[in-house]
Amino acid sequence: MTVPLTAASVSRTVLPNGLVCLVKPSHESGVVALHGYVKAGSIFDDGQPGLARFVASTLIRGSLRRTGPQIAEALDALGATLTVSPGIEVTAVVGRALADDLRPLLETAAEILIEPAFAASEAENVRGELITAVRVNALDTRQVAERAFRRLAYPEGHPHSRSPDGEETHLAALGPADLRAFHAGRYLPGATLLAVVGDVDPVQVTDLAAEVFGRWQVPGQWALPAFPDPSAPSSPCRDETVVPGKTQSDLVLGAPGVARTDPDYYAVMMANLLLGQLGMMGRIGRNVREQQGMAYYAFSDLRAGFLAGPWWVKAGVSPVNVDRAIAAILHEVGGLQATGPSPDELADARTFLTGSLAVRLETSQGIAQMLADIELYDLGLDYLERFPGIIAGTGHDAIIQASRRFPTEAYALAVAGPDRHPPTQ
Amino acid sequence: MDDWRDVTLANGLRVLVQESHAAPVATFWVWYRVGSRHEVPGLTGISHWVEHLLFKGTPSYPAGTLSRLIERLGGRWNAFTWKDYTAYFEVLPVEHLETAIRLEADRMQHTIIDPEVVAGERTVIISEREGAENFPAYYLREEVDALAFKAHPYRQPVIGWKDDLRAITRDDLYRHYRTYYHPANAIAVAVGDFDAAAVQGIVETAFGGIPASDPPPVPRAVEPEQSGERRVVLRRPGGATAYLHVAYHAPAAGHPDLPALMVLDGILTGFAGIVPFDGGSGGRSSRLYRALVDRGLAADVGSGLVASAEPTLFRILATAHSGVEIRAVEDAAMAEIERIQRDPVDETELDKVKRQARAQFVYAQDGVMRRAMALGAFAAVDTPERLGALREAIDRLAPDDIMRVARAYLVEKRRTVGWFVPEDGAQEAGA
Repeated sequence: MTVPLTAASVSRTVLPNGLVCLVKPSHESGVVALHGYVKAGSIFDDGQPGLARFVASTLIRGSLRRTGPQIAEALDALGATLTVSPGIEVTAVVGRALADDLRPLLETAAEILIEPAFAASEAENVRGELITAVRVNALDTRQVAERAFRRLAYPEGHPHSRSPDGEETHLAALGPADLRAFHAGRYLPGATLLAVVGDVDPVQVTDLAAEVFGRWQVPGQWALPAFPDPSAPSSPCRDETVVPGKTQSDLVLGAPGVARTDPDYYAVMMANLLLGQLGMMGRIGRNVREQQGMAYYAFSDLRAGFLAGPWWVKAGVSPVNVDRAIAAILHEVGGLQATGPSPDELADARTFLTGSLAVRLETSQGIAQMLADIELYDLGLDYLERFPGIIAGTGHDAIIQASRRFPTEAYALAVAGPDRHPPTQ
Repeated sequence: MDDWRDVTLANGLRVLVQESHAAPVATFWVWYRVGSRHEVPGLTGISHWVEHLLFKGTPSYPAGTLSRLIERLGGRWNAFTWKDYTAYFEVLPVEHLETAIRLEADRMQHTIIDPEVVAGERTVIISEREGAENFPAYYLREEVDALAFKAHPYRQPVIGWKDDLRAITRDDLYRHYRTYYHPANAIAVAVGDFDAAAVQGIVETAFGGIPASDPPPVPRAVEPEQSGERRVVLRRPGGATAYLHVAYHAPAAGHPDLPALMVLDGILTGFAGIVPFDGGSGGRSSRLYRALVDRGLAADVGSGLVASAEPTLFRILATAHSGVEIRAVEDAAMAEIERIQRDPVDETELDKVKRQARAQFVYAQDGVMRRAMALGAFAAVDTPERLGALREAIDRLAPDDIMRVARAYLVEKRRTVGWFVPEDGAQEAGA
């Protein structure tokens, strides 16, 4: 297989202010894609849940140079998009434009990252949107189950113990001064990386990035804060929330997983692939959906970042099938832990992981995101060239050991949906 | 964009093939002209159910082997059902394209529809429906569609009414499959890093031997002209805020007013993508965004129409800010509609939306999936040439064209207005 993204094909530059700029030319389409990260997610909320999200959501609403509507008008006039998406560990800055419009796209990205206005009226609108989202999510069974799971699986104070959405009371109390303080302290050029992919010349893009981001001079080093140990619960813990007006129950079952830097990451990633992703949602999907017909969706997911995010199984089932679905999920986890993958399964997983790289990288946006992730986790620009070897070196026994990190007894389980035990007459 | 091969085989299969050499990948699609538009009461949801069954295996590729086959090659595959069509696709490293083509030819004719599999999938599909029911905006859409159309099957949800899903039989499904799954009712689309002539040959070899069948029945229902506003107010627990859904009767994809309606949509909320169901432009400078979101009335707003085989709906959707009366959201949205009917759009604003449209046509070329999807969707509801014609027609539009279609279509007597108003009793959830 031809590796579609090699170290030699990427230009990587660290600007004097610490910002990293990656460029990969990808001709033919006429498009340029931007995927960037600022390491300023809700892990820095620091007692003010929702603050990082509030800041990220307000950036595009105006700078010291232009108002929010002026920025919107300029982007729309180019047919370009630029969005800022807050997350737990990082805030993503994602854009797309015609290749000829790279300059205004990058200038706008620089403007909102370097000198956002946080005007009171714009912040007020964003606050209303965030509070509406919190209230909507409080009645969304998937969100309710996920939030309850986080409270059960992580110690208080850990960033994964709560939703980055924040809480209404905190959002109501935050003001422009809080937003400015967070931005001043956490939005650092040394904590920012940008990947640019498209019909562009790497030298020109790097020069342009140096020109528009060069004025961003904020000293400070990014460092991952220390958090309480997210070790798995010692006994099963369970939460069930009744949400009126709903038809289906959503469940989340699992525990803290591994960090992206954990030496066992690749074994856990492959165990997760076999458990709940490969084929029609892995072994869990085969049992819960294909064999028992209980759910439209039942899959596992591993959230590995700087911190050990959740390793969880999610399913949406009829309220009468919740217990059966849980039993089926635990049965499949136990099965993988007992005997590991069959030779065929392991071969399938390996060829899928290596073969699918070409498909994942078929658009400019797909390449830009991959490049940004490679830089974020310091995987090396030759990562995709080494990847097949890493996967080939992750064997049966390592996957069994990794699968045993998923608890079959001391798990966290959250269910949200209609009342499963209504009072009898 | 317009450089595809377009041939029709002797058995009626239309084949569109386009080269794209940006990445070493290829995609193959088969679009069947069958969706909820082709369903009758009592059998709603049957097209979507058949779609599920096409993943269950054939004698050559027994249950469970299909996914393995594609994924082992590093590929991805899926399918979806819409009102006018059901589409199946694979995207994979280009050297494996032939496998996808052979697989699609095989399941066009040989899908096993086993009673036990049908029974298992019944509960899966009911679960899919019930998952959607957990979202207030889903209920509202169902209500608005059912009210906006009295006679036309566009009134039916693609997933089907739940009681129909409980009653549909194995033989119903088999009959539906046999009626609609044959070459003359399908369009095959291949886009990728290949030689188009060679791939055309592979498609001809794989599909050419499938016998032609009788043409499927053509849905005959015609929606009577609406001559007065219709309203529905849905009051349910389970929602935290109010939702607005306004639907105006609008023409089919082949109508000459489609370009002006697409630009009108762009002026209201930003030009939507050319690829169906795509995200489209930002639209934060659009009229409805400014009137609803910038003014703090709504958390989000959207509008648009999906290019359709028959006259469809132009929709405006908004989520009210929590605590804001939905009436205020509707009034603000309607004031913008009246403004666009009263005052001509200025050239600068029109040029902005035209530029968004041009950008969307370019974005639709980024990646084989998007190219194939745009091509296939237009071929299924109209003609693939419509894509290029749209681009040119949009460039020619003048301010008067926008005002004319706003006055012709976005009028009170052609609209259905839906509100979702949350009922109390839910605030304790999530506490």
